[in-house]
Amino acid sequence: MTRPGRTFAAVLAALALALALLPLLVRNPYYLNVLNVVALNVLVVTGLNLLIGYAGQISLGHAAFFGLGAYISGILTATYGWPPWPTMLLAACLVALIAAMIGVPTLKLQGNYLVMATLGFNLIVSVLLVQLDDFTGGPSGLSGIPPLTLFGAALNNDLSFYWLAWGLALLGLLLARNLVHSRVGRGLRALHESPLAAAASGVPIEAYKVKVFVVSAVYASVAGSLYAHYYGIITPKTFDIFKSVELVTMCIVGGMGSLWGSLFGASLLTPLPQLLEVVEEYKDILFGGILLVLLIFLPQGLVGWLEGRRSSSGRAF
Amino acid sequence: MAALLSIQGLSISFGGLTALSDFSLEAPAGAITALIGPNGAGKTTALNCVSGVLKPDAGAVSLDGRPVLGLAGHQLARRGLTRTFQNLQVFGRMSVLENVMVGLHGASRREFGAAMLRLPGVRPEERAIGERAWEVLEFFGLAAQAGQPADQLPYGDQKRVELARALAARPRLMLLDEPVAGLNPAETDALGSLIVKIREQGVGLVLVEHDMSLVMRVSDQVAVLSGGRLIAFGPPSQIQADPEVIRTYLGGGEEFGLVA
Repeated sequence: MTRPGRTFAAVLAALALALALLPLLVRNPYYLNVLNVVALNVLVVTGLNLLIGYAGQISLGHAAFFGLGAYISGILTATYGWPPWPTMLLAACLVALIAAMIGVPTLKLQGNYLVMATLGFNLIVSVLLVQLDDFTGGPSGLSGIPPLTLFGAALNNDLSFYWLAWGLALLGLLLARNLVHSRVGRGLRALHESPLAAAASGVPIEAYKVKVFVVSAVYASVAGSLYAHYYGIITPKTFDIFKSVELVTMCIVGGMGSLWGSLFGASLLTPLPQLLEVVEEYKDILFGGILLVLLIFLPQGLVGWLEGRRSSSGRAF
Repeated sequence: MAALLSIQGLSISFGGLTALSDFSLEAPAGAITALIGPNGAGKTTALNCVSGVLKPDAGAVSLDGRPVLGLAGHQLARRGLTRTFQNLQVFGRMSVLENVMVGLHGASRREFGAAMLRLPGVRPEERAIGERAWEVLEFFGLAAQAGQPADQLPYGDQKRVELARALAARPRLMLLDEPVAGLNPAETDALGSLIVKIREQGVGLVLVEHDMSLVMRVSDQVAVLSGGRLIAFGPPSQIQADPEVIRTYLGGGEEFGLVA
């Protein structure tokens, strides 16, 4: 148990170092911007992976939690002048509460009712963000969201936000790693494989499903709040159902049940539409297509596939 | 022998089919109570009612004198009641060691927040879980396979993993649903000896099994179910001589040849 844990810590430290040096090479604010969006996606996908990859519960509504974090932070700080950091915390608590309200009734049922509930929830949130235009600014969005400040300095450019976003993304990975390598993590994986046997072994399966759903929603909410303060303007389209599909695709591309997969999936797919400019218009189709192909040919994701190759050739695993 | 498990007047029907009708049974600690009967007699249904998987229409179940009917599986595990399954339920992609560690879930209590933040107390608890799990693996002769994914073990070893997982948290009562089904005679023999060793630790066992020679060898008392009703109850020797049992279940006398 300690060995995979130590390897993780070592890789994480190396990654942190590489990320710390990266801005020396990358001066172009456009690339920094892409890296910042990657960091936010890593955060959401890490939480989502705990839910999908470890506990085996699927959500198609995480863009809604992402959006709620963004809009709660955005509205309260821009319109009402609340301080950003405490508001971010409040947003996370409210989103946790909402996730629990969705999770408690649906996760009691056997079968994948969570998919339908979260799908419906995402659609409702999308409509509300457009319709409640007195608060949300409607389809044209909410602007004037202040940047975050840290030790008196405003994080109002791509480079300063880079430190914060990646710092929190790595922290999110570390916390998730701790969870995965604990009795709770084992309980989640157990209930994924056999709910019956997990319960008989003492795992409170219903409570665990709700709790991991709430944790994953909080990851999304924090990322959403960060997003709002980073861009200063948010629009409903960013948080629609297609964003949810995109997040699930990142999770599956990287590899369900692998935290490195979250990092990998988000890093690979976030810049993809920008890199392939021709397809940017058809981004949603692209992600849908990737998801489809992957589920058919590589259901364990890229990291899972690589690990599988290594263990079958080396036999050391 | 005071009853560890007491089942009283358990009844359940699915649609028009009565699976159990007014079934009562007492199982003491430190003894093996076998539950036998033809297919469809209600044996697994009885285990499922006791272990909280099914909710009976009527009846009462108590463990150590305290009513446990209506408790969820994980609550029962915390009270010392664990089980294995007729169709193998190991966590295939988890290692053998991790399977057994999950069996200790109810015996430990650090939850999400503590685990994520690695609060003090998490590490000692992890160590304690690990130590106990190794102890159990050694008892079951599985230590060499500890790091392997459970689904890569031979079927017989997987059966032992399931048993190890159920024993890990030192339960008071274990329900075993056909533990030797699909095993060859040598494996059956070895597993039978393990079950006897578990009994020696003072654990009460309820054993649903079709392998009559095993049942007659290890059981302290045998309950015979047929059509959801208890038709006979007593020590193995008495059950083998019971005319109704012979007629409805055992058939001819050839089975007895297997009993030494």
